[in-house]
Amino acid sequence: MAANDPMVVGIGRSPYSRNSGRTTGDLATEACRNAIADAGMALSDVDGIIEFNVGDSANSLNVAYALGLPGLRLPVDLMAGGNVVTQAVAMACMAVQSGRCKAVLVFRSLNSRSGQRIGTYTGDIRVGGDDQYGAPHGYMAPGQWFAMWCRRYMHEHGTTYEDLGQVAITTRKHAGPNEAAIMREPITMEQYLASRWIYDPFRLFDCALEADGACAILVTTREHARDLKQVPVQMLDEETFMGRHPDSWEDMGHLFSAHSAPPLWARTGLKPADMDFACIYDCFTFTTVGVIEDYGLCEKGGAGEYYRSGKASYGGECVINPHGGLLSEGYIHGMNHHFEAVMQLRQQAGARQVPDAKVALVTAGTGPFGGGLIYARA
Amino acid sequence: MSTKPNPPQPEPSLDSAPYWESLKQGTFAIQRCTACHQWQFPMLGACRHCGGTLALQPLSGKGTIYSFIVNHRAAAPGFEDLLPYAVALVSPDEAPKLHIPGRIVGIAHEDVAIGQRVTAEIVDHPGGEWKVPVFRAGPT
Repeated sequence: MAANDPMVVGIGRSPYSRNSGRTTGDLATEACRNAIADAGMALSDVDGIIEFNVGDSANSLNVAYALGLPGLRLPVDLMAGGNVVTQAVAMACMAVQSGRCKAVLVFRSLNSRSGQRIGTYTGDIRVGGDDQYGAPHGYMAPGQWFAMWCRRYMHEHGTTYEDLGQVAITTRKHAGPNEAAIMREPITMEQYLASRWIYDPFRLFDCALEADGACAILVTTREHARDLKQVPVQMLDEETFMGRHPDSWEDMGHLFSAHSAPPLWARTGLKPADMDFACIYDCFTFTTVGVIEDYGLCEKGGAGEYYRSGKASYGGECVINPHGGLLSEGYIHGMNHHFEAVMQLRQQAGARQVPDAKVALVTAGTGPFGGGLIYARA
Repeated sequence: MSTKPNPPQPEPSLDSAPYWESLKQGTFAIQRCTACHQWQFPMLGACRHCGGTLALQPLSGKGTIYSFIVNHRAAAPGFEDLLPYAVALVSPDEAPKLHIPGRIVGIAHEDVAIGQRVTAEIVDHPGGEWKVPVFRAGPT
């Protein structure tokens, strides 16, 4: 235990919706203000902001200005998607641990339903870079890359459509009591299998729920956390592993998580069975399957059975995505997983509280790029 | 006048322009290192294995389906008439660790499978002057 251990001391968000009618800058500012107020920290103590911005977002300096800050010691704008969330949190933690910053906000703001829908393109377009080879075949959307991964994964590990469906059904069930979740009506396997194909092997219910909204967390040190309002949540450690474009990965039977999981377990001395719950980045049902198998919550090829037997839910082994994840709470690009993890570890999650939750795994990303971290109640 | 939208057009970089020009001339060729002889896809400025000089070298066009999807939704305009259709990542025989994307032709999308043998064909790409490789399923 050290005075400079990194702690999440505040969480904030805007309402999540299908059509915010607001700018991403306004949404981001609300989420950040709420995180600072939640912590009970003086606004003037915030001296760093990190955000990530595939599609639409809000610039760190613009948000600092909108919050009334004169400037920042650490403005970071990552040209990246949900694969960098745990890395962004780790960067905030490093900034406060090193003493460069006193308090750092990490946020994501997007109108991913009413504004820029990721993976949807219109009009006559020219495509360069990584996607110039696939785009002329109508193959250029994240949902397509990871459907490609999913098919290979199913081939190698025996994962079935029904296994994917188990993830969708359980995740929706968890969203039921969550008033912030956009989709709360339960779904059955019949409904899952009847939902329309998007990119086979993905049906509609395999895909994240596009949403508008913003979510933020505030990080500072143990020392500074003492004077604040909430029980702090410690970020114990984080490990990221990133490859390039999804098509370039040689072995689609193993995700980034096959690389990021072992060092995280080794350094923390923790094991999958120690996790009271997990917030797994679930841009697609397949992501959850591959990531929990790589992190060792179940054996390779065993995720479907893990869900089917109730181990991924209340009364089982490890509640996965108690908030309903990106699939049902909404696609706030994985920042909402951190909000949920902190609520649970503070025992503030109400009807969906995981009893006596002390330690949690939170992941980010899918396919060739992502990371994971462990939060613990301090 | 047709109002049908065109599919996305490639926008070559300095590294990839020779690949697209080669297709226009009717040759499906990707980069190979002149020093360590490793094949490379996508196109880069130098060999990622040894930093050596790259040259385009024709592929036989024969390969195996590594994975595939069936598009029931068009991610971009220009493909509405094809739906549903299969796109695969193909491992060329010469460089089985590489994955080259392309449409699968000559077979119903329901019959596409991992491990199937395919042969590349070069076809005109609607909406511009480019040609693209597609993969025909069947004995090679």
